[in-house]
Amino acid sequence: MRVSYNWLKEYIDLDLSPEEVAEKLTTLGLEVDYIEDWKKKYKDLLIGQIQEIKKHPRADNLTLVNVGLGRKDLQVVCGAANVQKGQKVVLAPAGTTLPGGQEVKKAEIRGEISQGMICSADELNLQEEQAEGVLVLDKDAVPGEKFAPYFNLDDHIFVLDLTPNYGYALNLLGVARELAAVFEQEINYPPITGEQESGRAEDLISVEVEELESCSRYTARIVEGVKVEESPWWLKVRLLAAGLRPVNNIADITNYVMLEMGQPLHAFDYDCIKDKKIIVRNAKEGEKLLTLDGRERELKEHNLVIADTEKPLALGGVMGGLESEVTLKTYNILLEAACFNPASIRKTAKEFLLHSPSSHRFERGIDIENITRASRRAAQLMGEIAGGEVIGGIVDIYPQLKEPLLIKVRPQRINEVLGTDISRMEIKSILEKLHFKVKDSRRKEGAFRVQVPSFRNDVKIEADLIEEVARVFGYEEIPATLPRVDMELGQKKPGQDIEEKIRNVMHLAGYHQTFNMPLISPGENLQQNCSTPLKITNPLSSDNSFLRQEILPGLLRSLAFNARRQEREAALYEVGDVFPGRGINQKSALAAVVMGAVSDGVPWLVEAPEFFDLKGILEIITDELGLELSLNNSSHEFLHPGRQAEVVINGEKVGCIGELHPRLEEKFRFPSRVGVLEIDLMPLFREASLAPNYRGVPRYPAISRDIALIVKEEVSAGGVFTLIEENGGPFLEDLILFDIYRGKQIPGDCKSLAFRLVFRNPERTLTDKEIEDIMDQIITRTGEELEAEIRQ
Amino acid sequence: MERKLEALQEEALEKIASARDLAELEQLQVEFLGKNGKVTGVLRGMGRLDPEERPKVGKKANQVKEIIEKELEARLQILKADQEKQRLQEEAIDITLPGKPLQGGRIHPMQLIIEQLEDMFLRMGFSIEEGPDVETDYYNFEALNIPENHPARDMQDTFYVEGGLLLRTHTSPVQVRTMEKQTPPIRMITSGKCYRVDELDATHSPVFHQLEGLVIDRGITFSHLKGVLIAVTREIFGAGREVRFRPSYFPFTEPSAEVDVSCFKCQGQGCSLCSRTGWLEILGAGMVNPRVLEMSGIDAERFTGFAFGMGLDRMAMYKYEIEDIRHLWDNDLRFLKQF
Ligand SMILES: [Zn+2]
Repeated sequence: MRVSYNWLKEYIDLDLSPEEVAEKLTTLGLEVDYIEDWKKKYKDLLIGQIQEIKKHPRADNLTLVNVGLGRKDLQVVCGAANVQKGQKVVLAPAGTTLPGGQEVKKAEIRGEISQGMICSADELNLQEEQAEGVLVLDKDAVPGEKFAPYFNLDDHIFVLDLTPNYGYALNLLGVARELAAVFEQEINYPPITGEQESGRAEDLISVEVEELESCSRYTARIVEGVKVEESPWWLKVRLLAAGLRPVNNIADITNYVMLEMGQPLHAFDYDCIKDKKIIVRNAKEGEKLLTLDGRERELKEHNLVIADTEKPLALGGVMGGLESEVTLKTYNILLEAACFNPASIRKTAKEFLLHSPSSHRFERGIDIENITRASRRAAQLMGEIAGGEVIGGIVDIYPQLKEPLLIKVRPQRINEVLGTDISRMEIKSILEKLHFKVKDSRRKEGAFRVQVPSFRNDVKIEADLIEEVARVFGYEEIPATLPRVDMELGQKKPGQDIEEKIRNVMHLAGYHQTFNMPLISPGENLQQNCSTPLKITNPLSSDNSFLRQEILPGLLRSLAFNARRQEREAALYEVGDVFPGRGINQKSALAAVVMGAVSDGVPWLVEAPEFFDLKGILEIITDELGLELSLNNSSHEFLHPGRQAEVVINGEKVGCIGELHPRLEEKFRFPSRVGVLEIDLMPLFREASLAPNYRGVPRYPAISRDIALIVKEEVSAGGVFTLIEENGGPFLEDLILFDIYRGKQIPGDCKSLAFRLVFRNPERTLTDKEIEDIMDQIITRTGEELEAEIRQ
Repeated sequence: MERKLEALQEEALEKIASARDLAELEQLQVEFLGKNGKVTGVLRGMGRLDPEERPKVGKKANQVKEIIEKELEARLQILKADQEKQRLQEEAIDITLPGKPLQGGRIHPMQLIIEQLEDMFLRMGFSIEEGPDVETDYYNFEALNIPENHPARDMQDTFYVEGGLLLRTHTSPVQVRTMEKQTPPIRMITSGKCYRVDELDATHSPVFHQLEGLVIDRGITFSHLKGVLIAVTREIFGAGREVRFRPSYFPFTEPSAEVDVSCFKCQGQGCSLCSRTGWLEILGAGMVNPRVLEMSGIDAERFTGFAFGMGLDRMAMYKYEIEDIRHLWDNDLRFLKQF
């Protein structure tokens, strides 16, 4: 909400700088986002009087205007048609800045000097649409004086960011009341005269409320013979300061009173109401209403309408109808002031995307006891400003009086919750300053009985009153202390240590951690055999309409982002959550991508560096966590058919590893091959062990033997490996494949695998003879089973 | 004989003094003291001497031998030292050449913030809890005192998921889940992804991270809330920081507070980082609303508690002065490699 400081000062005597007021409001919880300094904005503008108008010698549509500023005159070249001798106007002299920020420069226009600019209302930011001519001031304006005070524009606007509990402060008097409480001031309420409520109103209109649940009070008042026209400037400026657009004097008055007292009002053209009867009812399914914004709305049964005997006239509390709108032709007014149910208003406003200052206030709750006063105030202004005759009396449908809420408040509890030592007296005084009625207990330590004023719909329980005491006492005054607690170890979440270990391995391996949004488009899913992903019913765009079931799609997006920026090498990973399917179902996963990995050394690392980079990571992770890793053949369509595998850890399928299919590499425009890995971490969290498996420092030396076996191409290294392991006896400590050779001396369909075998007996030194026996056994068995031959 | 020995000694010492390297020295050793060396030769010729002279000459010969040996040893040490010195000089390197590059991966700034905060709370005895991103309306709203059609729902524009579920708009549902399964005392934090219908731009993101904490025990007060959050804020932003508490509104806390820290960039003078206010808004907090405690089955008369929550993306942006929230999601290597 926007609050004009000048306007605020009508209700409360404050001799403080705008900054001081803002500071106080913020510490009370009415957060001031920023202050708009209108004084500065309008400081350069002067009131001038038009002395003389001459035709521009070289331009038909321009005139040379002599503007008198008291002691001196300035010549201005002017294009407006409405300038007349003797008029008082607003002048921006050359060298100054307009409220919109444009500079006014001394100029020569077709050979004539122009020393300033005569401003129109839109150039002064006083209206949105383009004005027809310059703004003409009343005769009492004094030439040479500053313009800002004349229109009450030497003001500061507090822009408040109010949380939903401050519904009662969405008006000038509400804000004044808060300040009055802390500065111990009295409020100057606006004068409301003629409160005697008898007259012929009841003869002119009848009201029937069918839905008391949605409309707990409805009042109607009649003002006859108004002249609908533009509002006087003081009223327009008030609305402008509050950020509302002036319309006509009647609409502006309803808005003015809403801003002043917080009660939304609506004015109907009385003569448009059939049978002079208002019915507050639910809409009939499919019933139509043309709203003020010119749109036809099809209504549903839960929409509350204000109707006459024939048709709906307005969406109650949300927006009026076009047919009963007050126009320049309107003569008689029916003024509605009512209390609508917040939830019902909210539902309708949301449904039709009609968020208005009225609906905003109804949603937060209005003061049901203030309705007739607000109505009276508005009617009175319609009399004064629009020349109407306020008909005595009011039709007031308010069958179930709102009982004031009584809350038991224990002063001791307040101190227990706040950690303070505020006296009973002070607590009582704070609450009373905020217009709560406090009834003290007869017992010394007894509870207060606190009556909540009708405008405080937000206060419902003792805790709410504790906050009231705290914010007026001052949050800054409450001491800061640390709680005394029973000592207890803080626990990490399940799997957290293992996740940290895995992330460490990734960093050591040169992979950068990424964060990817878990929202993807359906086409990005890689694994065809996944179940349908969880769909967002109101996504921002179809690109983000599903929850990810795998991390890889997002990771590939990130990799592509970097490829587009000329990165040739990249290694990225994420440990994050994926959403496997229906319902609340979530698990941790690890995914990694690598592009342009550089490997030298053994041939297979050179042949498929990305794949073996990732495989190496899996080997380290499983080794660090005491798990068994194996890879099985797989046939994922998104992966290179000859370079992929199922990842199996401790006998459980956990994910896949491979090279992206060349087709996809092309689609993403990756400059080189891309290795990918994704595994489910839940089995790892379950099975991993972080304790190192120490077996003592060996006391006897190891003996190593190298052997090169020539096998057919189709024999996998893993098969040879397993066979050697099986035949290596109990003392084979380590088995390493250190080379593959193809070429000279090797038949064309064969390859030579070079292994190093390391033997050790923990009890004694092994003899050469023992080793030779084992080696012979290995050679025999590999020869028999794999037709392997020793390479000499 | 004796004169001959003296002449030999003189010759040897002269040659030793002028020896230029270890090989030369070794040759001299052979020449004078070797099996067929000159001094040895003299000793061998002693048989021809008068037996009375033998001891005298023998003694002299041994003296000469010792002197030569000593000289040889001394010269050896000098030459060795020279040689070492020369080698070390030759091996001098250009220390301004670059070091061996380490190809380690980097930690994402979001992770850095999460880890710093988790570490700090673990030290204070808080436990880390977790909860799902896909939530029910009950845990995300109802149980936190945000009923249907309450304007507070406008503060959190929600993504809905098929099956009557939603994406959590804050990490607060984990508070409720924790209160349901544990009995006080409770000291927990939780962090994770949250979702709101917000277009991605420099300062907004539909996915963001929060860290949330909850303390419930007998006698927990607003004063404790202040004490703990001041300690936390100073740990993150530096010991000298001012911390400000002002009233705010969250349906699940009452009283509620917004916590600001004095801007570390301008020392509270006002700059672009703090929108010229001198303050950075970093935390929302408050005393747990008794209704929320009761809905989760905790006796609100016996126990009180405080809760707090902070936006981690904003925290990371403040701490590292990251100018655009999208950097946190682009995973641009030029960004990642700076952390
Ligand atoms: Zn700053």
